[in-house]
Amino acid sequence: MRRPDDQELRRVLSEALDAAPVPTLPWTSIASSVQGSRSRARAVRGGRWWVSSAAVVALLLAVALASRSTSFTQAARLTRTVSIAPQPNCAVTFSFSGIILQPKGYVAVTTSLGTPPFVAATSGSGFTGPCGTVLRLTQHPTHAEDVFVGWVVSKRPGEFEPVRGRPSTIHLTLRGKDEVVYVKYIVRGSRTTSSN
Amino acid sequence: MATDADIAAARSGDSQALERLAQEIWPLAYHVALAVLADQHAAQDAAQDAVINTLRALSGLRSAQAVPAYVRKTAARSAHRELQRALRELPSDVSLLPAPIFIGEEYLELRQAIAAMKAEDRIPLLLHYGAGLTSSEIGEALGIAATAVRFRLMRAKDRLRQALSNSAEGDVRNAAP
Repeated sequence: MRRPDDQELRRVLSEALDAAPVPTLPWTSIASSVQGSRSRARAVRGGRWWVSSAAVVALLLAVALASRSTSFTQAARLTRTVSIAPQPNCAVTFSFSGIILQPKGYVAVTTSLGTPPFVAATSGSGFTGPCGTVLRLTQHPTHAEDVFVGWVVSKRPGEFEPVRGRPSTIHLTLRGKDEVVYVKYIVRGSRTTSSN
Repeated sequence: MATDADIAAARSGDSQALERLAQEIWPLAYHVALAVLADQHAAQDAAQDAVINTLRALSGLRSAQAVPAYVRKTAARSAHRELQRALRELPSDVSLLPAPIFIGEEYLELRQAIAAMKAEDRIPLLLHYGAGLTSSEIGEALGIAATAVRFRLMRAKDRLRQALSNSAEGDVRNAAP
């Protein structure tokens, strides 16, 4: 193809977008998330140690929410991504998605770098440190309506593991220049999503 | 495809109807966000916002037919906000800027040419031809005038053609004895 016309562009580009695999919607009703977590828990016990982020959501929520009521608004929850991409000299850039900058209702995350005492830093900044530097991520509730549910961490895109014990702070060691770590945190927002 | 009855049920707070609708609009929101952000994690975040925004806006939508257009617009807006934030925070490292995710072998040359385009040209191109947004909708999402969108679309197509013809000349030279 040398001179694409509008029709060709439309076809090629819409096909390209449609071909991109769609991840599972990271929230469902409480009832179905509990149901899903049971089957996923069986898979984990069977020796499968990595799970998808959606399954992790279900897994984490099973404990936190099983005894609660089941309206959609209470079940609505969001995952947020913190991409951490060490540069060649182990300088680190962070990309915080949807954190703090949202008007309200999200959990804020602060970062620190180094060995204790940690140097606190604002989100979304770049840092320089030697390889082996420990990165600390801490969640802070910013809005009473949102509840922190847990962290999930991945060393490979799409393969997330829940951080056990639901700690508010996690520590990550940046080992090498090619390492990329994906971190998501999960909140359960109780904001109303219907508009009566 | 959601019907007016489905929308009415969701609007009245029926949790199952809300969930069904969320599941239905999620792929569209994700693909639009992916067109802008070209990063699956960032696109998921933006698409989640778009789904929530759409569910919140149901009372203002006249019929089920209005839902896809609203999803496209709000997803593009969410994704663009996210892109702007990323660009603000990572201004010095071009390698971290998003590059499109295209899979498959068909029209590889065209896809490579699009991947090499600057984001300011590529994003309107993908939103218009890939996700079906109008110039006005793109302008609204990106915070620029519709005329500016049309200009960028024309420029993007010109550059695409230029890139493809350069590539063709290279092929001819390589093939020459």
